[in-house]
Amino acid sequence: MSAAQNLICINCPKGCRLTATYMEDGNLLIQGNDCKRGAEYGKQELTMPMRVLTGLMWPADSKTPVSVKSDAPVPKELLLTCAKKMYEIHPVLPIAKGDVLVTDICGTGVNIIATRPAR
Amino acid sequence: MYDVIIVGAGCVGCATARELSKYQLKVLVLEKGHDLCSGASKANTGMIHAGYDPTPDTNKAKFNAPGSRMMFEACTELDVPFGKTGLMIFATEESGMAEIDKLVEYAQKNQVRVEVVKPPKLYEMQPNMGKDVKEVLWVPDGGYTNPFSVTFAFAENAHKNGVEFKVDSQVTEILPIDGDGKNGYCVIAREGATEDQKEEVTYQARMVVNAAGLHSDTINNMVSNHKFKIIPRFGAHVILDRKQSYKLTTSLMETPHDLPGGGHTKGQAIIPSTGGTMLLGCDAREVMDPDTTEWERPSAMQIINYFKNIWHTLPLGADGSEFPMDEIIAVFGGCRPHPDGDDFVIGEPDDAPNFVNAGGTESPAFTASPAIAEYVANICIDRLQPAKNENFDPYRKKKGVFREMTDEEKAAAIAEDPDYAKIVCRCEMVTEAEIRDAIRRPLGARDLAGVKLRTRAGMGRCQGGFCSSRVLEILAEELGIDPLEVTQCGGASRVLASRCGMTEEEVQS
Amino acid sequence: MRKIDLVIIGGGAAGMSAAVAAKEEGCNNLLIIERNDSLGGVLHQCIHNGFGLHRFGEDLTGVEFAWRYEELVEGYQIPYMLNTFVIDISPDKIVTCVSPVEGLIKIQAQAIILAMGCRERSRNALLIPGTRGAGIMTAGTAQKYLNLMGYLPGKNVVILGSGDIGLIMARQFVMEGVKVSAVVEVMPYSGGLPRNMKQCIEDFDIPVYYSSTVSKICGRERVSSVWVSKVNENREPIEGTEFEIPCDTLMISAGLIPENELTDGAGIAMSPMTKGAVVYENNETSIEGIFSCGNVLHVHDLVDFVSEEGAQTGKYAYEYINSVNTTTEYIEEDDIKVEKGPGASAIVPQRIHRNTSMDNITFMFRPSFKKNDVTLCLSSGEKILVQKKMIAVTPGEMCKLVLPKEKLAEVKESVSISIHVNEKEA
Repeated sequence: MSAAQNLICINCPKGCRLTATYMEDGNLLIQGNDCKRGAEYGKQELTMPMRVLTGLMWPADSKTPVSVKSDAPVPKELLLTCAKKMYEIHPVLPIAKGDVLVTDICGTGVNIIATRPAR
Repeated sequence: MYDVIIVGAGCVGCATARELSKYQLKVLVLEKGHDLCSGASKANTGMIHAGYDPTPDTNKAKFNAPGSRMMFEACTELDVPFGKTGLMIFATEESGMAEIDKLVEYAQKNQVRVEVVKPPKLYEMQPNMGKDVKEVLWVPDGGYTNPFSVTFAFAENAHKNGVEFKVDSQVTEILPIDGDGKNGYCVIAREGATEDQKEEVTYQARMVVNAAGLHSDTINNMVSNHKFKIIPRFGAHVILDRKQSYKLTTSLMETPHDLPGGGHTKGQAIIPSTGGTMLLGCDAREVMDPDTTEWERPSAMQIINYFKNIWHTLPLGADGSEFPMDEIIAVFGGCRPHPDGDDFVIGEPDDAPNFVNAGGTESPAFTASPAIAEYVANICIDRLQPAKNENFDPYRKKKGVFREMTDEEKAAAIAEDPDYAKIVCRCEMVTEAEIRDAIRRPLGARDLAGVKLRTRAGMGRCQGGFCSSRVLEILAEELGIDPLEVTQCGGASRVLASRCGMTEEEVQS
Repeated sequence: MRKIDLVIIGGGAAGMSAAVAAKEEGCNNLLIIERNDSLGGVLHQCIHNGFGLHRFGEDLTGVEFAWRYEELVEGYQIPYMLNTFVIDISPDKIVTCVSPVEGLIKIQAQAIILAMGCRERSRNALLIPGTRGAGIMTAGTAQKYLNLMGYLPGKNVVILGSGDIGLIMARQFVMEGVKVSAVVEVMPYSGGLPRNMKQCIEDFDIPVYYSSTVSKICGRERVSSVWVSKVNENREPIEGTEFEIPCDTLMISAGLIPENELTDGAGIAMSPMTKGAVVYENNETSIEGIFSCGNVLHVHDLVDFVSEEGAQTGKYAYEYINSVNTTTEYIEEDDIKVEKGPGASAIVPQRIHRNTSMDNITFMFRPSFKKNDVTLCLSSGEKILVQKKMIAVTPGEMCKLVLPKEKLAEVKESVSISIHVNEKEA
């Protein structure tokens, strides 16, 4: 058994303090989680950390930006690349809530969607 | 060629401009700051001193009491709020009572009404005064106004009657034409909002008035060999929210006393403001940089601790309430121009004809400013013999203040201008109508600080947290500029850095 | 004068959830008054996720959370007035408001719900000395500039305070290419949620200085640097510990204060601890028929809790409207007072009606310290009525205790809430 790693679960505001330990069989043991999602988070965080991306995009000819989010988490290391990409694309108004503004951003398979309508 | 150039657009310069606008004169006011009222006048409390305390037979004594009477009059003419609530100087120690005796003597010489009031009569006058107070000196003719409003009002009224104003214009040289000043002066100024925009501009004037406040020594010393020196004295004030101001029916001041570290102070005061808040302070410390507004924590704490200790003695703490730390909404500070000769430097030096000083203007120069202005203007008028300005209009009216209106007045104001229903600054209840007016009016606001000083938007307890972004949008709209160009206080003080996700070229297109 | 059963002041999370709940209970004559040009309040500028897990069981952004409620308000056809600013509430429940379209209006309400939200503590209230140029703003103002207007306020930011809005903004700044040079926190621990410390600060290796404060702001026209100093036990900067951090922006995220000018103006009793109104278990204030909920009552950690409190308050207000004509004898002396014991602060509610109709009474409060292994206690006199063990508490996270109605009979004139640190067993 290797030394335990401490993690903070970011799934919900509770912020469970997790400990992750690699067992001798190579499996990962997550402890300290109050729910199932904590265990999943712990495993994911140690293999490939993922984050929901939220940000802004500039619709063409708009004076104000529109708020967007990724419809699923993207790899943490691609956050900045994706955020930059979003600014290169200028969706056309009007935009409905949930409209897909970028499909498969940076090859992640994840879409960027509007979180609010914009006119 | 101008008839008169006034250096400095503080209260003294602007009051002088207004006096001169009563005559047919070509007058220009040059101000080094980004806005009018950006030096000592901006750091003033607005207290109208009755004139009981200056050493008799000084310029301070000569101009203070008449100035206070003229100030109340000017406020009425110029639509500036004021309160004539008087002042109580309270003594809690024997030494304070001795100081009061001295003040009574001065007051008599300066011909200012005062009265020593002791218990029990004191409690009839001020039922909530604490038992520690042995006696007070009651000065009925004191009061308060708003130093920014007064200065802007003087300037706007002068402008309306023909005076020109330039901001961002720093006088760097004053050269007598033909060797002496008999035929006037060349005034050279560096003008421009930012360093890279600065350029040298030369004006000519038959007469020059030095109303440069904190820099009045520099201006005088360019022209006259009767040199003097301004020692900038920094003072900080603490502002308390208006929740408890109903308890403050008059200004309150401790008796003057010697400071432990040497020097003498007029004493700490708590005074009402026209915005309904209370100002506490101030301290005094000599600094090198006359333009600094940087206050230090120990001086703010010293003021707070002083009032914490005597709170129960004052009517404010008579109900048993503690000093309201939570109601501190801001600390501000600035320098006062203390002249090395300890008196205002007023008049025409014998080696500089047609150059008139109105300098060394530390307290009570704000109160005295209308009287100083009249005196200085009279020197110019005697010399230049201009005709009267028959069209002179002594009045100035600004848009009504929403917060002070009755419900009926509010309804009428909104009916006339729906922008009155758009409350931009929630703490001070300042409407979009007032903000737009502050920008549109002559010599109007061009930055956030300018709007704040003219309307109180951002001056309340949240200190602009809610309203500054909206005021910024309104400024951009009214001035026809990009929001990125809007400044906090002129010059390089842009509020915003860039548009998100865009390079500068993208913003341009 | 217009007569309306229930007037809700504020169309943010608290106000909308109160309106929706009241409507669901059957209240048909109600009105939301909102000062902005749309419902949603501060949620509009909260474009980040982490909302709605409690309320909707989904991870939503603040914007989406608001939208859910806006759709409910529209769906129920709940009337609302936008761009309308309430300037006064009288003790007899006349609401005076102004709008550019309707002018000055007075409305006689039978019940009022105060849901005005909160504002941020400013640099000035923190007594941070120094210059007053551009580049000093609260986190909420920066968030508004960025998310609603599309502007970045600077290129290099120092953040004072580790409240959640500050942490969220730190992450967003980094994503926008803005340097975040430091987060400075006066307490020895973070004021924000652990997950925000993780995903906003640690993820981006932003330096955090604990037990420190900004002791001076430099730069005349624009901020050029700040001084950071260690603080003593009174949270005063310690001279000689300062060091300078170059930056062009100081962003303040040092706490929220309920926005209670209208509450004060109506003469409603206020709590110095919460800075909100003193309320009963049904969130009714000292004036009968005026209720308070959400961040104007006390500052919450999560919008989910705000909307939960809003919904309950909407229900209570409608109960009040329905009971106005039934005479129940109410004697103020019978009120149960809620007292603050060691370790607990900012308790809501502060009073309980002896004859309350509620089944359970929920108390919300904040720990005054950060400690592990503690017990939350609710007692009356010597008797402990409710207790709850907690692994850890911190002032950044609200605590909750529920007093079941059957135990109310055991309560004398007051109850006390306290937090005890459990002794480690040897």
